[in-house]
This record gives sequence, structure tokens and C-alpha cells, in this order.
Amino acid sequence: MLKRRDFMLGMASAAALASLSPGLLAQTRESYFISAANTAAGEHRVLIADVQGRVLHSLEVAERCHAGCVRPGSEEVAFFSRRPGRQLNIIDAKQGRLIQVVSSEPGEHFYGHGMFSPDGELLYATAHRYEESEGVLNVYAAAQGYRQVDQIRLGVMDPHEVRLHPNGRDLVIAAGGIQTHPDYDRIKLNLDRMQPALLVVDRLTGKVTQRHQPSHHQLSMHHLDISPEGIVVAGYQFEGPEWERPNLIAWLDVEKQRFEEIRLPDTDQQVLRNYIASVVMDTVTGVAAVTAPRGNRMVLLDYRQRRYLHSIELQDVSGVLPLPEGGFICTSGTGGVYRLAPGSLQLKQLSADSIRWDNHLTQV
Amino acid sequence: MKKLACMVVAAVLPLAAHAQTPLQRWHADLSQGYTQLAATSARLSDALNQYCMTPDAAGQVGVQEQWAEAFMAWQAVRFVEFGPIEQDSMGWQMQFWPDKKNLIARKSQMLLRSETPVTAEALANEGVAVKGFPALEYLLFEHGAKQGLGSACPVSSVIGNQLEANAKTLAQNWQQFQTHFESRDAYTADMVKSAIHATEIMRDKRLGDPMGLSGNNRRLHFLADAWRSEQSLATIRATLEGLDRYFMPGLELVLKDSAPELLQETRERLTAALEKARALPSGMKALLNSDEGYAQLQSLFISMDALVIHLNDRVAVELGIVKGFNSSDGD
Repeated sequence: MLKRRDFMLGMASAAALASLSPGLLAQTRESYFISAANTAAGEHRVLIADVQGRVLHSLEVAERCHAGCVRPGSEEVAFFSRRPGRQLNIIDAKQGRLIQVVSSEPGEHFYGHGMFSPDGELLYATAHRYEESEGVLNVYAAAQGYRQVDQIRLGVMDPHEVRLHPNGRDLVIAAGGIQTHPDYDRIKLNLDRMQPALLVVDRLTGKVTQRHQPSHHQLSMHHLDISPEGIVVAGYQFEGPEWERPNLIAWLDVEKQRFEEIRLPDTDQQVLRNYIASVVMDTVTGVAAVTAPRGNRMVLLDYRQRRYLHSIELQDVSGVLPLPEGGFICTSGTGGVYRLAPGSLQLKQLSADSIRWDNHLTQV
Repeated sequence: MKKLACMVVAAVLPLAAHAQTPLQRWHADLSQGYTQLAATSARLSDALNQYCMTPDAAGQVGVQEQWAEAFMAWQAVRFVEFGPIEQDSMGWQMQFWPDKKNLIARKSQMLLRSETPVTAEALANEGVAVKGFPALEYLLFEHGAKQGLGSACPVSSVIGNQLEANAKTLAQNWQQFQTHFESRDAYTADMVKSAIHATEIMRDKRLGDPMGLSGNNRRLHFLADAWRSEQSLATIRATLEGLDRYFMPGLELVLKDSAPELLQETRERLTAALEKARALPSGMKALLNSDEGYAQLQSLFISMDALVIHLNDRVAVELGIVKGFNSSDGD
């Protein structure tokens, strides 16, 4: 995945990046992905599979997990429990082994996402100080046994997915604005007073440098991706009446601080059911894939032109990952793993199982 | 409010009879269900307001009866998990359950000890544990019994007023939902999935958990809903009756031509469970404490289990309905 190579290369210049052939780089890496899943019996797992959909490792975890991120320069993956889970699982992806479990501090839980610094030293995880209803970024020192070394207060509720800007310094965070409390499990407590936002945070100073708001206060924002050019695509989950049809996709040029929303064709607006699960960007083809499991659709966008391309039907689709050579691999909660070749409108099924593939895929 | 509710009932009754499609039928039937909830909640709110002005023993009994009537109206529509009930977490505002941390009692007591008056605005900022039927149940059946007449006033009255407003909003939003609902075939699957899920919850959580069937084998009546008012089994009966009244007629339109035998079997399974539930008392505690009573609960459980299996393995399969993992519980 080009963006992951970006931060592995640290602060490499854009010009140097541009000179690298994605195909050449792809050949240097074997292609596997990691994902949370449930078994048919409801047991929680983290799975490592190849891009043919063959599961190589199945790790038992205590809590249902959500997403992971790779530590640059290592085989470690930080994998988070989903809200209101309290576990950060450190996994050796090569050996397929759970090597450490870090618990959140008392009064806190994770939201399910994190991101490493380019040098792999620091891990940033979205978390919740739930007695104060405040969203934070917890900072862990990877080389010190994932000891928490800092906490950045974000001034928002419900910060969810975090991604690193290609400049290596800024973090972009999708914040849903939804108030929850573990006493009430996953019940949403403030749907009439939500304040979702897309944040840009300087990870070195901890300052929120940009804050963009969706066109409706009930457009919760949980998932996003960012391209090597610093273009962000984020997906919404509308918490208002299901008979309304708000915009579902946000677009941000971080450098120009230009925030817009992409309107989908009415036919897609009708079927997506106002809920976006995952967003990824294929930097080879310039296509963003946005999954909508409630609408059984994956929508493809030209993220550079902010233009809708088409949508593809797939039951309960959620996890999606761009392939190094372009195109996508995606997974369904009904058990299938699929591949979409660049430019194709047809999914090719790679495998089928009783596995309930969860929300996100991460390349390892 | 009562007048309004009566007018809405009058308006929706003919619609149910003339509904053509399954979705039209479901909408019309549930219009009655939500209107009934609004009307009974309004009566409960009125009774609470009057009781809190002059608390007396007769008033307390009257309020408890009104609470039970409104709560059963809620149980009858509780199986619907989509549409207006999702707005503002309305289902949770109606009934926060299960309550494994006893938040309902703890938070209600905090509210009673509040040094500032508990107004509608103050209540709006509180969590769902002190809104809706379970908080009122605690105040009317447990706190009131221990602390004396009127001891939960005026907090109970404020909660009752909020409940009335929520039920009214729900009934109105169901009407607003009509065009959208009736024009989308996907709601057939949603309705069936809702009914199946509600039946599973009834079997596993509302009945199986207090029976000790889900883990530690301990019979714990307070794991059921409405245990404080001794209405745990009455709520199960009311939900089954709600499925019979508001779900089955629409399902009949779906299946009557394509799978009449399956439809007949569905009716029989639901009727069997309903008859078992009707033969039991309202409360569960006494039955849990005797072998004979427990056997009766087991019999109900077996009927519910057969209903769940039938809905999942026969009805959902016939209609090609698959419950999604990410679509039903994502983040």
C-alpha cells in the first residue's frame, strides 16, 4: 500500500516517492492482510490471511477487535479492541503470535484505531476518558513495552480512525461526536447534540490545527484514508432519520484546508442506508473504495477529481484494502474474500468460509 | 393528548383493513401499536401528575396500573428495531435493559437527592437509565413502597411527562416514515429480521438468563425485565401478542401465495408460544423458586426455541434473508 510505504520511508521527499514504481515496490513485499473476525460460534479472533483469502493464523482475543496498524520497520501490528474495549493487542504478524496485551488506563477505553509515527517509535491510539466524555489520543512508546508516555486531548467526543499525513507530522482524525459510556455499553447518549468533526492534529505539539464540520450535526464520521498527496476521504454514518438523504462522503485537501462533501447519485443514496463502514484509497489508480454494509455496496470514487465512478453490490461488505498493484481486496461479514481488479466492475470471489470478517483490513 | 391519540387511532384503523402490500399492512398495523403506546403513556403521565399533586394509596395503585398498561403497549411494539425508534436512541429511552449494574436504582436515587429541581431540561441531560419505563417502575414499585406515598414526586412526574412526549414523537415519526418505508422492498427483510431478533432476545435474555440457562446455572429473577413490578412474564406475553397483532398480518401477505404451508406453520408456532405464555402468571420469581414452576418456564422456553428455529431456518431461508454481521453491528 503506497501510503504505508510512505511512512516506512519516513520523511522522504515527495519527489523521491514519485520516482518509485509502485509495481517494483510491490514485488518487494509479500501480500498478507490482518483483520478482526468472529467465528460462526461468536468467538473473537484476529486473522492473518494471504490475498487469496487463505487464513494463515487465527489468534484468539478476549474482546471483539476492530482495526490494526503496522509498526514501521518491524513485524509488529497494534490491534485494538472496539468500543468500549480496553485492550491493545501487540501481534507479531510474521509468526502469527500475540506477544503482548496492553490495557487502557482506568476510566478509559479504546475506540479501535491507531497509527504509528514514521520511525515506529510512537503509537497514537484514539481513546475515551469516559467520565469526562473526552476524546484523546494516547501515545505509547513502542520500544518501552508500549508504555503510555503522553496523552493529547482533542476537544471532541468519539475520535475514531486516525491516519498519518504523508508529511509524517500531522495526524488526521475522524471524530463521530457521539457520547457513550461503558456503563451503558454501546448506547448512543447524545444523538440530538452531536458535534462530529474532521481534525488535523500536529502530533509533535498536540495542537489541533484544523477542524472541519460535516454539513449536518448528525453526520457521524468514523473512517477515513489519506493519499500521498494529502487528500483525505472520509465516510459518514448518519444518525438522523433514515428517510433523509444527507451527503455521505467528505473530502479534504489538508494542505489547502479545502473541505468539501461528495454527493453520490440518487440511486446510490437510496440504497446505502446512510452508513459508511470503511474507506481506503488506491494510489495506483486514484480510486477510493467506500464500503456500505447496510446497503450491501462498495462505492468507487475518483478521489482526485472528487467524482463518483460506480458501485458494486456485495452482501455485508465492510473490510477493504488496496492492492500494491492496484485494485482492491474486500471481505464480507458472510465469509467471502473478493478481489476487484483495477478498472473492473466484477468482483472475483477468492474464498468462502463461515468467518464473519469484521470492519477493516490492514496490509501486513 | 388523549383526544389526539383517539383521532389517530380512528384514522389508522381503516388503513389496516385496506392495506394492499405487506409493507402497507405493517405500517398500518404498527401505526395502531405506536398510537396505543402514545395514548397509554399520556394516561400514565396524567395519572402521575394528579397523584403527585395529592398522593394517596388509591392514586398509587392507579398509577401502577397505568404504568403496566403503557409498558405492555411498549412491549407489543418493542420488536421493531428500525425507523423512528432508532432516532435519539428512542428504544433505550423507552426501556433501558438489561441493567446489570443496577444503574436504574442508583441513578434514580441520585436524581431524587438532587439539590436543584429536576426539570424536563435537567432530565434531558441525564442518561437513559433514568428515562422511560424502568426508572418509573423503580420509583413506583420499589422506592414508593419503601419510602412512602409521594416520595418519588415530582421526579416520577417529570419522567412520566418525558415518556409521554417521547411516545407522541414516536407515533408522529412513524407516520412521517410511511412513504419511505412503503416504497422500499428492503424493509420486508428488516421487519422479518426485527421479529426474529426480538424472539431470540426473548428466548435467550428475557427468559433464558433468569432461568440460568446462559452460564452459571443460577436462577436470578432480577435478570428478567420488569421484575420489580412482578410483570416479567406479562411482558413476554405482550411482546408475543404484539408479534401476533402487528407482525403476522404483514407476513401473511408475504407468504400466503408463495408458501401457504410455511405460513400456517408459522402461525401454529407463534400460537403455541402465546398459549404457553398466557397460561403463566405475570411474575417470574415464584416460578423460578419451585420445580413445578420452573418446568412451566421450561415449557415456554421450548416453545420459544421452536419459534426461533422456525423463523430462522424456514421463514428467513424461504425469503432469502441473511442477517449481516457488519450491517447489524458495526462501528
